[in-house]
Amino acid sequence: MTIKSRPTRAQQQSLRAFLKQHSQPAATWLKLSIALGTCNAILMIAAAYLLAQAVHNVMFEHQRLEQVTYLLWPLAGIIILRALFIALSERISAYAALKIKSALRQSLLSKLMMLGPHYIEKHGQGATLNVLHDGVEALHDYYAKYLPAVAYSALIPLAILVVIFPTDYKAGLIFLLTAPLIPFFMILVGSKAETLNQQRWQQLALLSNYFFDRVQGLTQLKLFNATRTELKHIAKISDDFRHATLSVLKIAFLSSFALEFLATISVALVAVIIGFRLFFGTLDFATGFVVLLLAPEFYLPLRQLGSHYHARLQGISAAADMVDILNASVDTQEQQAPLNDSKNINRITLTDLNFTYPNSNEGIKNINLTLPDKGLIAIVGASGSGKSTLFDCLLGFHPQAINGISINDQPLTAQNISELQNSVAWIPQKPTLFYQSIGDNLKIADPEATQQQLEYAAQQAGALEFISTLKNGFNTLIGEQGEGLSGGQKQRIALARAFLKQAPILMLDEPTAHLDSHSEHVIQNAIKAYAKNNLVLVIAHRLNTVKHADNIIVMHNGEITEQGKYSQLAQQNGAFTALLNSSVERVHND
Amino acid sequence: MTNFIRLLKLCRTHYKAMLLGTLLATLTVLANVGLLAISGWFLASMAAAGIAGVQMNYFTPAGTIRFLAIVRTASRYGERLVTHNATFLLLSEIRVKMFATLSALNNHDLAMSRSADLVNRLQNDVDALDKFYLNILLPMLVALFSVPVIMLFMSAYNANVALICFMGILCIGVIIPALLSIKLNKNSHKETQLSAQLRAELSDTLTGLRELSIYQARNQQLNKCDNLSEQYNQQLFIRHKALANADGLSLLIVQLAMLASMVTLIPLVYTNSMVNVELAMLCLFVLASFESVLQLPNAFIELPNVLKAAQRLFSLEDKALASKHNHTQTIDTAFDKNNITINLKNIRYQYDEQIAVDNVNFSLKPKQKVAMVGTSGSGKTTLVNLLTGLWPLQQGQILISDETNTAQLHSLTNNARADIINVLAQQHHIFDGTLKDNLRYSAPKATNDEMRHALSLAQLQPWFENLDEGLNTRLGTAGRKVSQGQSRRIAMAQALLKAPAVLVLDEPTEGLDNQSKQSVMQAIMQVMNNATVLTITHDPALLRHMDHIVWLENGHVIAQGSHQELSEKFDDYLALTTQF
Repeated sequence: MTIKSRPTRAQQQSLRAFLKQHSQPAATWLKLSIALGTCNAILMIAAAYLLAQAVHNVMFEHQRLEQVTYLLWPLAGIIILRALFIALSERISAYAALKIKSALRQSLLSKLMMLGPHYIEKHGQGATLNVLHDGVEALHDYYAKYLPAVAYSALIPLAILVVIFPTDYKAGLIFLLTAPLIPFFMILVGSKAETLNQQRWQQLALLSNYFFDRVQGLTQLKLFNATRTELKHIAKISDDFRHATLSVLKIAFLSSFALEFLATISVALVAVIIGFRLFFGTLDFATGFVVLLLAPEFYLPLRQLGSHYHARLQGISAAADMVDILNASVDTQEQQAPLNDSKNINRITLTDLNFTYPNSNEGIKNINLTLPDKGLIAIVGASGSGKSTLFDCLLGFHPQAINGISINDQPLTAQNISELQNSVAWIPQKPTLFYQSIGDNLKIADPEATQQQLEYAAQQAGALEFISTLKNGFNTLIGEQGEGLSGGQKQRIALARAFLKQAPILMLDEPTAHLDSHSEHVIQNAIKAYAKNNLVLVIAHRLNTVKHADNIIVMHNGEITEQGKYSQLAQQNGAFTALLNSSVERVHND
Repeated sequence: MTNFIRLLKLCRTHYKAMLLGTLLATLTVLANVGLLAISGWFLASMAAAGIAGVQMNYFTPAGTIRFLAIVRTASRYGERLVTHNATFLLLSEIRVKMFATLSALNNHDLAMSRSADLVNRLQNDVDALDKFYLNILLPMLVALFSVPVIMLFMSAYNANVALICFMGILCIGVIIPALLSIKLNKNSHKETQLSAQLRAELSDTLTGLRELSIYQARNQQLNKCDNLSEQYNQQLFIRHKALANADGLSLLIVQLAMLASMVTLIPLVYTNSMVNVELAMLCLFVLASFESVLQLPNAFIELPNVLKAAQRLFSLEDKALASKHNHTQTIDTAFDKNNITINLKNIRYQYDEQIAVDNVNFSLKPKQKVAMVGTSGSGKTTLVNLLTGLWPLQQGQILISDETNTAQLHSLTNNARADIINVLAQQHHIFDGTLKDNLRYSAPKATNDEMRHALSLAQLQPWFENLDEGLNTRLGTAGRKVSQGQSRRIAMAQALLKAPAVLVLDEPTEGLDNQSKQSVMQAIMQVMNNATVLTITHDPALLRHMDHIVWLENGHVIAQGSHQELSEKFDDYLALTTQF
């Protein structure tokens, strides 16, 4: 859990501008909703006049029910219309918010796709996911409730003033004079109370965090035999929190106290003043009653605005993360070159390939390497030696480093990266299985694949056997992150997906986790078979894999230090043997 | 209903604060209703007196109006303070109770293997219960207290109007919210489902971005996300439509109730069977009376969620109570820590249908260093779990013995067990708190010097020296980030302070870069000096330091011996323990 600091006033302003700009897709709907809400208010004013007149006629003109029906029927009509308008207005504002959220989520996601995996990794996957999901959802109340409330807080009091002034300017003056007091006091008490209120939420979050942190580490506490002491801690901390919070709340609630006090006292004041004017006959009852009916309605929108404060804050802080994503600059132009049929790649040559990550000296340097068109090539090296970076370069994920790479003696350019990518199938250390059926997961590699092709690919990868034992076979839905499948099964599905692509080059980052022996055996055999007709590059972690490799490339500190077959390398007392025994020797040297 | 009553019982300890809050809230509502009604009456009377040219006592009503305005605001302020105090009291009560429950449960029932899931659910459930008093109980009690008072006064003027008003209140406070709540709940399941689906899809897209590029499937995936987002929106729209309709309907009912009261009263005023000024008063009285159920709809909408949360938490509590009854941890013998032998005899454990380990026998002699090796799914982790004593044994025995005593591990008290055996999980949890707090969990009485010594033995000296606040440096979620290697070394420091007779480690060097691996190794060597060690590992560096290796495959021990022996004898073993 992180507690974000609140944006400053200037930041808030630019964030509000951002939120406004993104309300464009549904601006008309929002306006319509506000218009309906305002119509409701105007009808409310009309209803107050009708009601007051009816009450006046009955009380002081001694009229019968039949004589006031001409007032009551329209009143009934207005009531029905108001109910309709309210329901419609709320419905439309919710609809507008939904549209805005959809559009925003879409533009965020496509921007993220352009920014690429490095951006996401840098900012943390979980955090980015939260922006996309919960962050966008958090905007709902901002658009559906807060924005209309802002409009109402200006429009409705204005409408009431416009009507009241011609009827009775003295009552209008009371309204006019007391109205600014509310925002004034709100700001006065509010700025202090707001920070306090903020503190309260932070403290609550801290307490909540403390508790769940202990639950998370419960097993450890049990093993340390510390649960009983911890129980006392939790009780004590909760109690401390209560005392601290209450002293804060005493002040924080003052803002709403002031607000309510003003509104209530204003209404009471209006009532008393009007009462006396009625008594002295300077005002007729109908007008006085209208003013009394409208008085609470006059202050209501302002008070409601205060209650949407949380929605406002939530929206603004969610927007802060979105602005970062949408404003991030894309380093390279996204190349959407039309897909050519994958040409035969006979030779990949790397000449003086260099790549270092920005702000670090990690990377690869002086890579000179020619890759054949078929065979199994193992890349080994300690962690941080540059294996994955080399892979990323070959996969075209680092467009900055393409000038060291040539395909069939043609230099790789930004335009033909996708051509290269089209001839590569790739399985990372932890392959992503999407939240859909096994069949659909395979079809990502080839949307038009027939059932037969799916089965063949699965069979090659040794996955057909277990897929057929599943009740729904290829239609089995895979849970999030392949939940419900063992590590070996996930790996085999990813392999089948790669095989389905029938790419001339297969690149594989061997899983470091110990798969069950059966899976490991199956996968190794499948790769060996595929390497007979294609080029297979493996970041190897297993002895068996390197033993069968046609060539082993040993990397150290970003450079290639050794190459050869296992039988050769194992006999040389070089980098490879050092790697094999590395950790052992280090400990001995201590 | 039983859950509701159990929730009420939870509140019992703090009933005074809660009742006071309720009374203040009721007072607020009544003052407001009174304020409006009296204002109406006052205006009408003043106008009538003015027209008739008679004197009237206007001091009392004018004073009452001002008085009620002050009462309303003051009691509202007091109410908010008192009710929040009560909420925090309840919150503390719930947390303490939950923690006690969770501590009493054994880890099998907790299914700690998926603890992230449990914690998330628990967090949502506890958060839901936090608001039980403020959002549910309070509005209900306020309605219960204030509606009869309002009805009493209203019926004193006119029983028919009171009846109309009561029907309206019933509609708005109970019937519409109950219907709405049923509708929303029907949808909420789908909503959660779609929300989770969308989240999973987005998460997949972010993790699989590289693969999507390679397979040229980015636009396809983008469309899928859009579709799902749209579907989720449609589902949400059902909720928002229902809420909007309910708001419209509520307005309709309040206003129509007022209109109906007017129609009822006008003939009475005309026939002079009712004082004319009361018409204005009752008109406002009816409008204001609906404030007594203003918060009730929300209470009804939230009630099912809260009850569901309560049910989940109570069922955990019931489980804990049940497991307390077959409590067998009674033996509190002190063992000679330097001479402890552990014997695993015929251990068998199965999850549902799957057998995890079967017929496992081996022993740990005093100060012996033993490693367990095997592929994933071979049963290593199950054995470690059983050795914590927090998972129930299904078959077989784990015996602890020194020269004089022998006892079953699972019949030892927590105290005795924690002295003998300590297990370090792979994902060692660093608590949100200072470094000192973290170390004190294992040794509450450790002095600062002892802690510093343990940190230096655990190879944390260089890191520790760079901390400005030393032992008081805050770690964990809200504090300083700790790397995986550091957290394992902190675990070693904890183990050194605790100095248990037997230490069980789960792949202590797995997933670390070479440098941290080296430091962790050195820390382990320190720990191994004075303890019996059982570790899961495939790291040859560590394996070489072990006296004895137990090789597990499919839940069975398939070979035992020294690392050297096994490496020479079995190619599969060599392959298993060689990795780069």
